[in-house]
Amino acid sequence: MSVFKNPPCVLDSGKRDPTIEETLKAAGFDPNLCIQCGTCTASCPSGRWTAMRTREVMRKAAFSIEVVLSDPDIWLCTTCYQCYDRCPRDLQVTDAIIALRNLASARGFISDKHRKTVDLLHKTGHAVPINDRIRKIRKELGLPELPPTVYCYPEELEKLGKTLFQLPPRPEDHDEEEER
Amino acid sequence: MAQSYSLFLGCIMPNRYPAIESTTRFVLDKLGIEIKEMERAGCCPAPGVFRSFNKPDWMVAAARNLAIAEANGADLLTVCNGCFGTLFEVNHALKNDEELKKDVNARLADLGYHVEANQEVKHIAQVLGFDIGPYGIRDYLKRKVRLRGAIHYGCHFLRPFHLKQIDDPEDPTILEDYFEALGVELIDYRRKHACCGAGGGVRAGHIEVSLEMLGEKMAAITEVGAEAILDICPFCHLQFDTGQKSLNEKFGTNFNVPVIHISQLTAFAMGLDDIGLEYQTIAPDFKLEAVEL
Repeated sequence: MSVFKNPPCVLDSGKRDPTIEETLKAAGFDPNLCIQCGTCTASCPSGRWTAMRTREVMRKAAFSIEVVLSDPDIWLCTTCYQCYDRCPRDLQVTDAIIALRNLASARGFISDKHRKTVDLLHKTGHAVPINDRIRKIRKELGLPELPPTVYCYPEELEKLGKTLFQLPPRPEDHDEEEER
Repeated sequence: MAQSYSLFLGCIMPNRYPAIESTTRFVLDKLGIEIKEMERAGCCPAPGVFRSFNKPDWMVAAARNLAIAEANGADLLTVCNGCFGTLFEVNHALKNDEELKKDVNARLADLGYHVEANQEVKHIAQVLGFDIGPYGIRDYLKRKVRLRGAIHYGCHFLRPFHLKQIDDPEDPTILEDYFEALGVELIDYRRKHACCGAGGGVRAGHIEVSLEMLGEKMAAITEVGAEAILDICPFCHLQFDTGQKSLNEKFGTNFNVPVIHISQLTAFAMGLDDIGLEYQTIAPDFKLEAVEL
């Protein structure tokens, strides 16, 4: 029988998936080296304004807790690399977050807003496509109206779109994550 | 032989701030650097969004851009921290991993390209700040500028440090030395080296968080009375320029600090009067003040 009337709050393990830990290791973040010092959290510009705590994300991921993949927290990282450069154990934190995002994306956890940037890339070859106002300004500045990028080569653009960034659909039981 | 570079345009510079492109071309021409066009190049692709969705695909798309520069036979030059982050990292990875290079080339072959990763990827701030340098640039200046400026480095120019090895990311001086040579009076401000909040897909996915980060920087910049923000990245440029308007609309603030790219300011000091500030969202009527040499 437990000595506790109310059992102490321990890490809620949730569902675990060992691929998460393997992904971290492959990305240059060996969970056994992390001393959970929190330098990453303290360095995080996004964490100043949100409930995202880098140390906590890395801890959950180190324990392979599956919910870390569907949690919008990993998408609040601006990839500023401050945690990465400051980690006293030289762990590649930012790259690990990117690897987690890759794993999340492969399972369809990508927000609609992010899916739109991929649509733009497929349609125009650019994440930020040109518009009529800019075409006019380009002419005024003495530049070619259209830069000679892949946008001017629709056949190649179509081929690229078919080859790259084909995103899996969102899992059926998962709604678009709520806005903060 | 004259120095030449393959100029990588990217997305935001040609498609949102064409004045950065025209001033970059003006500056490189004055420096006697030949520009080789990168026909068919596309998005770098952005290290925040696309690398997060599928890193192998991101590498292939970036390697395709590198291959276009290699076919030109001239090192790749970017004007943007994001493009620099992507292209530098992929070039570095391919250089140091033969297996990876083989895999990437296998996929590139279907698209009709081949990458060797035998060239360098450079940022315009590196070319101006180091290769030409604060002393070298004096020979090219027609005038100086009278301006109290606040520098914003952005993230991917200096970080991650073990890859870039350009300057100490915690306390760099490369831009300070350079802008001072152009006559700028520099002012420090709180959180100078913090992120603008645009990267990592945060601006695309969580605009409110992105604006909060920007707001903190803008408050500090306004507090010290900077006349302009000096940056080296079109994405930070976009965030500062349109972000101030969004902040003003959303929070009733009154931010109105023009943002000037390193190419624009250099072009002005080299004698170009129209550096395209009138096309920007914030402070389109701002005029730079010249000091004759």
